[in-house]
Amino acid sequence: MADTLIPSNNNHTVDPAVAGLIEGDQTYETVSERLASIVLRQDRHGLPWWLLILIGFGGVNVLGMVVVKLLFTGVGIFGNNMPVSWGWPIINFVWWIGIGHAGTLISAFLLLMRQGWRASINRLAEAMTIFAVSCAGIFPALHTGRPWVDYWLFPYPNILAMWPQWRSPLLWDVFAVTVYALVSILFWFVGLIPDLATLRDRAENQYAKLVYGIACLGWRGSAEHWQRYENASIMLAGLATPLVVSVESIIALDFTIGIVPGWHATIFPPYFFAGALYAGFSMVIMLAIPLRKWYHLEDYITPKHIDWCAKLMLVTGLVVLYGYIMECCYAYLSGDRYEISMMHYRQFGPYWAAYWLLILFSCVLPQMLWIPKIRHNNAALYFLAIMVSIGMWLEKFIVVVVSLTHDYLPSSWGYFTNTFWDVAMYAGTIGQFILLFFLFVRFLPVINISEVREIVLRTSRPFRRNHASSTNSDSVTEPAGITSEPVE
Amino acid sequence: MAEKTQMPRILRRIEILSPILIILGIFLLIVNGGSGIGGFYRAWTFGWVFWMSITFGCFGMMLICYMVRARWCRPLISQFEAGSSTMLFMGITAIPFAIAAYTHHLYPWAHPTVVAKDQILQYRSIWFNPNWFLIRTFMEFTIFSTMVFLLIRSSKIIEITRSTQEASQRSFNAAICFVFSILLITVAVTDLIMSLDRHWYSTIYGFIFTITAGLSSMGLCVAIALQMRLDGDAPYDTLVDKLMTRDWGNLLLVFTMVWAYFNLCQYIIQWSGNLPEEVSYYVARNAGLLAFVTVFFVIIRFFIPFLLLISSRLKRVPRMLRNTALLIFFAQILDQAWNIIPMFHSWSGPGSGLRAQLQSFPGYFGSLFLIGGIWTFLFIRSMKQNALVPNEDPQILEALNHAHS
Repeated sequence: MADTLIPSNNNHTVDPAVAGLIEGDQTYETVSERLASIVLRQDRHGLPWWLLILIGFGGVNVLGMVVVKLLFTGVGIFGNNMPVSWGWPIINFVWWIGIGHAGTLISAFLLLMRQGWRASINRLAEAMTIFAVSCAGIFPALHTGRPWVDYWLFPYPNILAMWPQWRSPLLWDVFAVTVYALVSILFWFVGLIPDLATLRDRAENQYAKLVYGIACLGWRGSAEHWQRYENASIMLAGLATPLVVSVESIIALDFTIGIVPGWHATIFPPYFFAGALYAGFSMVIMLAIPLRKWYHLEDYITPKHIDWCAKLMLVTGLVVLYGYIMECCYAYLSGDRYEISMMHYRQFGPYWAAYWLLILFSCVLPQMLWIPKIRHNNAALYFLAIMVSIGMWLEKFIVVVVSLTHDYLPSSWGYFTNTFWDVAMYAGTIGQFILLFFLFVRFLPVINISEVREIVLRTSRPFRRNHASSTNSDSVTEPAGITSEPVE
Repeated sequence: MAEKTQMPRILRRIEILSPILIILGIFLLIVNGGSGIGGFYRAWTFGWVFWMSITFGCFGMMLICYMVRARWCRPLISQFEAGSSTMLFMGITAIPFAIAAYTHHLYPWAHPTVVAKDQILQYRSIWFNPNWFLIRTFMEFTIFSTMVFLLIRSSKIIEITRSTQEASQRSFNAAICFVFSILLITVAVTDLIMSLDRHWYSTIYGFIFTITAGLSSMGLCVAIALQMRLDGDAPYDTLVDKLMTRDWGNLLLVFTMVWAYFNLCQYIIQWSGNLPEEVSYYVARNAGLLAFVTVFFVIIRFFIPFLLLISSRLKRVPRMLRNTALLIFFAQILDQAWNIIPMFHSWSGPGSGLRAQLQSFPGYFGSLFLIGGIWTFLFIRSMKQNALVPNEDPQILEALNHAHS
């Protein structure tokens, strides 16, 4: 009975846990060659890469221009003004942080859950996390108005008796985001070590050999190395997963602790968390679909990966939808005139278009993901991912701006208008993200080579072939860890 | 077709226990007669909500099992199905709530004199009024019972036909049902439980109830499955291995942590917000003797299970895991008591004072035993009618294949 469930065109048994996670006739050699060559061979980077690097570089220049303007003029260049003292900077901060979280979840949480399908997308997701967090960090750091004294946020012994306000969730942010960024970088780097060793072994350029050799920290692929690597990965994954939850919850508490109508909702922490994952999964899809096309990675980022990412996007989107429903229904049911007024203002006030576009992009359109045909259509999926990304930005806009322009006293009501510099800074960080990401694609393996080789092992065909033929050079040239990798 | 095995010892014991619980429950409710009709409704609410949470939990876990096709589901799925099959019974036993709404008991919004003095309740009367409340409750249980009936029927068809197509369809249907169930549970919880308090509301409450229900039903079913394993009853003696107990332990741990996370979110936000209509929930639970109960409750509900389940050794020893699962299940009684009973104080309805509460205590246990006795009877009856574990379900077999590979 069970055999009929396993699609197999040959006589060999395919491990059903990894079926569909890798395509084509793969061996360790083909995996290593095709994935390492993205880094080691310049000719694999065509026009799209150059174009995106150019766009990214342009964006970073714009960002630099905004930062210089900001330092010379002050935060007044932004649209932030009473009552909206938190404008685009905080919206963008929360949006970028959210994108970062999905990367950690894919990588760390799926590792803890022993999900083999993470192998092809975990590296790009982790990179996405780090670059997104680097973009996010810029906003609060500059939004303080005097970024040169940002170090005051840390509780260092000082003679000014300037101690941080421990009761402020904004201070919790400093610690949460810093720790999160550190753990994410560490986790990313530890995961890279075996692949850096592969690059060291395969590089022909002496400088590349030297750089990758130093970066891989003397990795030899011995059983001991693999054991320590596995232990470190699991420990870091165990650390990173609760961190994701806590960081996003703290960001939600930034809002809910304030008794502003539209902010003070107990559903915020889980719904912010789900929203972060939602935006992050959409970003993973937006990165993975073109990458697999441009670098011919269809064998490694298979339709199954894309399908599961789409399913997770749907699930997290449903949690977000639940959050919207709860916010709306309880606001009207509460009998609290301020909450009712706020919800009415969101839906029918001057920002009504933003609210209904949010509902359309984040709630209505993603329901198409219930249809398998849509999930299997890359163009449609890409479109939905963009819509979700925009929708999640609009969500932050609604939460931040609309609530602040319409709180308790009509005398403090107002209308927010962004400036050119708000848009320029946001575009600049998008440019920074693109630049960093495509530099990463150029210099580091975008797919986890060692874990994909483990999948090759588990698909059994190459495993048998390698054992049958001792002439296969791969078994000699690859790190010794391949032969000592534990098989579940 | 699945082979029928002799009924395991633990199920026979529960079967014997059912009539005893029913008789004891009736006796205690009679003893509670002194607290009046209001006391009866309060007692009924407590017992009903407890068993409703188990039913909802079983239903939710059953849907998850249909969707995820995991190996750990196999020994539990028939129990989840049996628990879910009590949905109609729970709907019938919700009738006293509808009566209470018309006779102005139990709910502050149903009491005209209370509503007359309260602007918020007047505003809410668009939603909270007896007729609309009755219609909603009826519709909720009709939809839930229909979903349970159709899904369990689908499972039976799969067991007979081994149809992969039917199994895929059931997965899809389960996903749809899951989404609607969460919304329906939230509506039901808002109507039947949250509205016991006059003004308090929390947007995360639906999630809290859902995770509480999932955790306690998982605790009950894991405890039963492990007891069957310890008694050496087939097929649990061979089915339940260390890998499976580890998975169950991890699931209980995750649910416990999520439960704590949701509750902590609610507590931090409402306590720091310090708004009268919100913070009253916690003020009521931190006053006098209840403060000690709250501390005890947090220890029993979170710290002890968390510290126990974090140990990988415990998750390998069936006896220890069974005891932990039982603790989680019985902690649900305290959870519901902590959650519901102080709500009766939130408005000065007839017989809602502390003295009346203490007088009602036999009634609380009475309803718990009476509904529990009937619930367990129906649960065992359903278990007897079906195979203890699915043997032909292609999705479960696929999951086993995954695990073995």
